[in-house]
Amino acid sequence: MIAYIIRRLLQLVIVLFGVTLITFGMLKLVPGDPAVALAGKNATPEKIAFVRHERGLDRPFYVQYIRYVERLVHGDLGESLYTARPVAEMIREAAPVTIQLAVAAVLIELLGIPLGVFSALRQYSFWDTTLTTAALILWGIPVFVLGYFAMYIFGLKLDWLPIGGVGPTVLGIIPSTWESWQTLILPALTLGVIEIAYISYMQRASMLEVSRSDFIRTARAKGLTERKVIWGHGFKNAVIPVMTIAGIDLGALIGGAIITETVFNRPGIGLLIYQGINQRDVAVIAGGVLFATFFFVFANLLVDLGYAWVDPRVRLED
Amino acid sequence: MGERLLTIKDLSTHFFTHAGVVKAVNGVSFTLDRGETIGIVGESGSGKTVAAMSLMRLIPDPPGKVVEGSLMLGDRDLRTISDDEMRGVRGNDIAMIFQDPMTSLNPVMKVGKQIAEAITLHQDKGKREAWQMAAKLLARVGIPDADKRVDQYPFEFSGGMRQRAMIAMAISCNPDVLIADEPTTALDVTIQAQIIDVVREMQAQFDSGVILITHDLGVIAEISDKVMVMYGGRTVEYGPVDEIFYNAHHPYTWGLLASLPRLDESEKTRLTPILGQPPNLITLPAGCPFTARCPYRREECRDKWPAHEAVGPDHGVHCWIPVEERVAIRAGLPHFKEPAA
Repeated sequence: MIAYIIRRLLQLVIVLFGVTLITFGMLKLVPGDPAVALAGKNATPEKIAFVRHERGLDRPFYVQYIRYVERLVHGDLGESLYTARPVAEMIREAAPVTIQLAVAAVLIELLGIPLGVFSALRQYSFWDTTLTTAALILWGIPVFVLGYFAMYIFGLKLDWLPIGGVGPTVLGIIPSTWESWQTLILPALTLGVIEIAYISYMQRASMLEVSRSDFIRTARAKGLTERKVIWGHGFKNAVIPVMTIAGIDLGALIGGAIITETVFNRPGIGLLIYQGINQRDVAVIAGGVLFATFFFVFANLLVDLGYAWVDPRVRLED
Repeated sequence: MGERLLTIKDLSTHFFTHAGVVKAVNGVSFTLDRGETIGIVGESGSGKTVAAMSLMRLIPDPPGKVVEGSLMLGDRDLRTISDDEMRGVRGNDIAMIFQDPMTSLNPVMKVGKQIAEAITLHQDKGKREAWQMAAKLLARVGIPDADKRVDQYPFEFSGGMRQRAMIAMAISCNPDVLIADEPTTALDVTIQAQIIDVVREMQAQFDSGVILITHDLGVIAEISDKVMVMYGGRTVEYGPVDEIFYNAHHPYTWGLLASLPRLDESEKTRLTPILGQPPNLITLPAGCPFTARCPYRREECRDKWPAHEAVGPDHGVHCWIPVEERVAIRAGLPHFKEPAA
């Protein structure tokens, strides 16, 4: 298990190297000379040259990249061109909002597992057909459509829930007041419900496949009760592929969070990136993307560790 | 032979599918005594496995159903006892070894737990005790380092060892009846012989009755006392093992024997295949299912199922060809150069 974790952490380093290279390249590829921009309007050529040298902008690409990584390690993500605030600070403020939404969506998404098992155990029944159809329809709805739709119905027409914003929290992400919870409900449901559809559909397929496998027959032949056959032998095997899918799906969740935050006007990383794109604020975009990737890679690591915990073949191999 | 364990009479199991009714087993009868081994032989789709699964009441319903017959385990009717009682029978009175040891064990559960599970279920044993028994059972079926192995997962076992573990699981509750469904098919030839030996040893130790399902007549010859030859869901011939090998009466049995390689054959002879395809179980003829592939078929074969005909001690056959004619045909077959009859 320890060897496995070490191997995964080494892979993590490689992924992060690639990501920083891409975000750095993004900063470099943007048209315009940063030295000119930094020196300010009406700067003399001498001043521009001075700034260029002072900032190391005249050094080779790899030196600049190493400096960039050095600054990253020290938590320096540059400054926003638009607000002149440190990007790291903006991300520190926005991150809890996004993490709150993502965690809530994942918790909702997990409901897909029991729903999928429920469906699979009643294959072709009324409930199975209903749930599967509903899942397929939901799965096909884009996040922004569902978001605006939910906002219109529950926010404007019924006036049950606020249509945007965030509230106070404890520990950074747990809403501390009822109003704060309310602001979370619509965006989390919007993001989570589509994922429930996906996860339940996958869990159903996986459970059906496992329930036809030979070792289930063996378990029945032993005289185990159907309950023990399903939960003791079937479920663990059926949940493994779903965990993998859920891990990969975290990427989609972050993409969905960007849109959801925009729709519900939540000041998280998603909205930050969205505004950065609109304002061509490259440092903010790069910082946001870097954060999103870190989040994704880290979450994936957690999923993989969970995977190894469930499946001895992953844990014990070599 | 010991006490009668199983009495199967006129068992028919059908599957009701969208394409039609699949008549997998049609009127199969046999008995099994303590200490006895019956070999059920036939090609894929002949109904061997379905017959065994019907016995375990493990036919998925829907679409499958035992539509006819009586299945008696001692004086218990396996068709009418409650589900709870049936669970008490499975693994305890009747245990099963499956064909593919690679997929028949739960990949994410320790081998020891999979064996101990059956023990705690059917016997009044604690978890620790069951675990120790599991280790002993593994040692008994010839797995070295059983104390360590019991703590491992199936993927750490080789195919042969997994099948040994399956056998350990099956014998864990000392079953009266052991059903081995093609236990050697998925294994290397060298391992096959070992597994057959293990089955035989376990049978001797526990004095169980064994139902051995296979399409390998070599395995049958080695371990069976009697043989049931199945084709298209029907028993075409039934008898003591020597009778089946040396005094076979059904053209399908002849075909099976002729397709076996013989080591005593001095000249290089080709194996004789049975021509044609296995029957479609949905559109079976009312008569003998082998009709379409039988080189000696006659008019009555297709439409009427021949009655049971006794041709020797405990030896019966279902065939329309008159017995004298059968003996004459058989005498002319290359495989039966020195017929025992």
